[in-house]
Amino acid sequence: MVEATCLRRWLPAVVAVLGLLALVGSPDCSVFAAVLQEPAGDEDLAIVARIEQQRSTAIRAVIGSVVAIYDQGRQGGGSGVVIDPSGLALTNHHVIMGAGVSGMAGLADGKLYPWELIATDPGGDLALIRLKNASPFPASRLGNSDRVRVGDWALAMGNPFVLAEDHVPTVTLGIVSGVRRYQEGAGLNQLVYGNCIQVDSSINPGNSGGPLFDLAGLIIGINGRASFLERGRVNVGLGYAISSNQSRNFLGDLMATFLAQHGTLDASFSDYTDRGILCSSINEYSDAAKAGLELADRLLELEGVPVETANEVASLMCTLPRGWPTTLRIQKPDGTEKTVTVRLSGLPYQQPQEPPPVPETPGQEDDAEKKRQEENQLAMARLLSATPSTVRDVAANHFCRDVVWQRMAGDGADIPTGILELEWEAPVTSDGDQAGATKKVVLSVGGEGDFLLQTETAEGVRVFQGREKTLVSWESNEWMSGNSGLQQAAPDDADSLDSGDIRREPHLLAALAFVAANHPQDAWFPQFGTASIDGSDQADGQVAIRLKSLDADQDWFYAWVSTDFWSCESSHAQSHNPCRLLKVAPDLDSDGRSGGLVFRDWQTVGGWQVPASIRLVRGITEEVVGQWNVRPVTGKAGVGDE
Amino acid sequence: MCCARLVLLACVWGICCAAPASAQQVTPDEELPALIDRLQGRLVKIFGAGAGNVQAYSSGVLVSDDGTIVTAQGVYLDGARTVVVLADGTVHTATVMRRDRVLQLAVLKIEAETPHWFDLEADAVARQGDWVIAMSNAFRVADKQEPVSAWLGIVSLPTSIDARLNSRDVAYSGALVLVDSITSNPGAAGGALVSLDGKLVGVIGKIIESSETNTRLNYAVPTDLVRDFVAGKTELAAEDASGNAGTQLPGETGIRLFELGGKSGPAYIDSVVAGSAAEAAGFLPDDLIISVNGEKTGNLRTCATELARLVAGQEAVIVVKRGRELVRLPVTPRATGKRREAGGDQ
Repeated sequence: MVEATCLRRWLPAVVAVLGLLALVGSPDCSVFAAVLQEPAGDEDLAIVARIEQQRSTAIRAVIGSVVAIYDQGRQGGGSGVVIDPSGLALTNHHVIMGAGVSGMAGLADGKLYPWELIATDPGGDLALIRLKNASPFPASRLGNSDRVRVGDWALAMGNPFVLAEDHVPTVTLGIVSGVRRYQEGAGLNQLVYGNCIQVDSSINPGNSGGPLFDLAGLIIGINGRASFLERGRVNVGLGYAISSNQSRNFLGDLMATFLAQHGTLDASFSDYTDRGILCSSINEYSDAAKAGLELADRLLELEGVPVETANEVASLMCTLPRGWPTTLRIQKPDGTEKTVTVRLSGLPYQQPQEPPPVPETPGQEDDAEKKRQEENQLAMARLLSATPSTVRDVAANHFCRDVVWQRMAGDGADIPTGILELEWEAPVTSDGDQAGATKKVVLSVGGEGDFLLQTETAEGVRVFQGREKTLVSWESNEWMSGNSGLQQAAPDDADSLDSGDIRREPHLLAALAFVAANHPQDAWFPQFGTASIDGSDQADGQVAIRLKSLDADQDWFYAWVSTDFWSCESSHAQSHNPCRLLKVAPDLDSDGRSGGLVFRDWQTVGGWQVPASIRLVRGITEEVVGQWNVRPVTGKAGVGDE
Repeated sequence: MCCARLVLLACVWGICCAAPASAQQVTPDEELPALIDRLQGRLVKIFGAGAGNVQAYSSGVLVSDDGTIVTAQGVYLDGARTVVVLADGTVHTATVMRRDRVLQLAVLKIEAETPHWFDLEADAVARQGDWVIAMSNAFRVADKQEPVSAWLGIVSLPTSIDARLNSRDVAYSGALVLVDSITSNPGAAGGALVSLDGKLVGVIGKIIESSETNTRLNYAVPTDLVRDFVAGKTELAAEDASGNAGTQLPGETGIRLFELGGKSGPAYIDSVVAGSAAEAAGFLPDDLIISVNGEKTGNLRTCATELARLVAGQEAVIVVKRGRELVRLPVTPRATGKRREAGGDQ
């Protein structure tokens, strides 16, 4: 009798829990419940139907890019998301710590593909892997996570509890519960979640490394952890995703195959009531100190974001890689304000202890799995003890470099052919020119990456010709037509040009950069040496992948390329945008004599990518010292067959 | 009504820009992010004393413009200082005004103007299938002026429970609103359950967990109960800030405990006074008292303390083990006419 009473008392709760089970994962049921209670008009149902349509369309569009990641033995795994058709995929560092440096990846098509590690970021729990044996892979794009608001819908996808037999991802719908969250890490500077997104979408073990999408199908985060306490490792309604913007910041470091480190100003900030955030300690030998940051300076803005608490500063700093050019707006105790820009130093990781060498025990084939695991441990130990910000894997780096070049060419539909002629007025130029003087510059480019650059001089015209990877220059007393100039062999007395000439002549650098932007794979002149990816950076205020190459004189050339192909600002753009050449410079921070060139407002003219303007900049702050407005010569664009 | 809900739903899904004809019939077409943002100012973070594995923090809702806060009752309020952090990050010391061990709620007061607060409206009722937003500082994720977390769910069932077989399972009795989002987390108690038109439909309750299945109920205390409690109108056992009955008369049940086993011995009933409340309620000698008002009574000492806390005229629920059965016996103690002695039994 007592039992019956108890049951009756518990019954409502039991019924509710059963109801809950039926409703979880299918919020439409609640719509249904509402409909069941009171009849709805056709119009209302049409709205609901459209909403559902929108959601299922978004899911269908992106589900193919979600990866089920397994280790070699397929014992365990996590999730990931393909961000490039070449098979580059993001996942968590802690997923590859478990799975190793290679394994198998399952996609929604039900097939398994081998994957290999490209690089990892233990500090931010990110890793970049490469899926192989197919191309193009379905890829999703990174949205702008700064625009994510609490209350926005969030779709988590992945392989929770590694339960998908056919690798088809699980979708869990929820809302964003919090933004700009900070979840502290483990060990020395590892697995810190700064400025991350908190969701009530179910995040369970196995979801790690999988994408968090908005309803437009853009990746807003990489799911990586959840709040667990007293309940075991299952979802309790608080999941955390690394913001897509942080992932984008680290793309360059990961593509470069670096052991990515996070940045620090080598200074700390504390909250002081009524006085704001003050610098409470600083390493006097740090770049920040050299740039003018002092004790008791008040921090107003970090990277253009107004900050109000020291927590916010710590959280934001987590999203920035080592070497990142970081701008601080500070207020001195006397009230004067100052802007400081420095490259961040790196936060070190604890060096892992290498496992002792495995004694060889011949004739034991059943130990293959154990041996594989030990090898894996060794590989991970090597990975974590690598020198930070150094290319670990040249082949993988060059694979990623080729991907960048392909993405600069867009979808490949518009391969530029014929001749394009550009003209610009140059107020500031190389040595010897008078300040304020202008001169005409005409650039003619052929479909194969050959070019002819003519600049106005006091005596006549200086001609630079790049033909079949050979650079020469000569004086002329008349302007040549682009067509004939490109075809014509250089005069015998023409000077051959080396990298030093390129460094001295910004027009020539601009011309070469323009050619490289349009023929990234073919037009890398040998004067520049072999290019490789050199990590994450910013150029012209945008997130960039930095490339560098060592010229014949053992000096570096740098180029900065945008991440446009992998990211998307607008939720409506359906096609991928090409990556743009943002900047070229003969030194890292353009503080040499020659400065750097920033390219702006690229547009398509007759299949060619053309910047509307070229800016000559100096220093880490990219102070503009000159601007050239570029215009295609009327009637000549893309008509090279005449 | 349903029409209204569907349109609200449409807004939540972010297509209110499509402006369906029926949208004009409904005013609160607020998008979810805007709504949550608007509500943040009405939530507070509360920090108190820690004890063992009991969290020293919780959430609270402002219910007046002069700093009245409803939060969860708990030992964290027993510390030397209870601190309330408003949404703007300002820190205030709170006074505990009232607690209720049945509702498991407490009323705090801070000396500050609080322009953002929830009106404890009479018509704010959660119905089955309604969308609701839960807001709390579960897991103390938010610090200082950082906004508290938000969850979206639906009302699974408005119902009531009073099963009190084990105080660890259920520390709450009465009407409640069950929801399908996970609200039963450390620090979430005292948070808000809000309808999509921004009305408080409940205050998130303390964790109720089955010790057998490890499952938890995700629920909120309905607003009408909260309102009565805040207004001091509740018929349930209300206590003052000290946790004692204050000027209320101590209650006498007529239960006599078996004291020969020592203070650490089991709390068996030795005898029941003839004509007492306990006799009317059906207590028998040799019943083993398991819990009093949800508080576990593991030995004679704790049992005597709990019985001594009972207030005349206010119903208490005592669970006894009789043979192999657990029997739940409501009893209303009568006034003894004498002041309570500290720690003394009846």
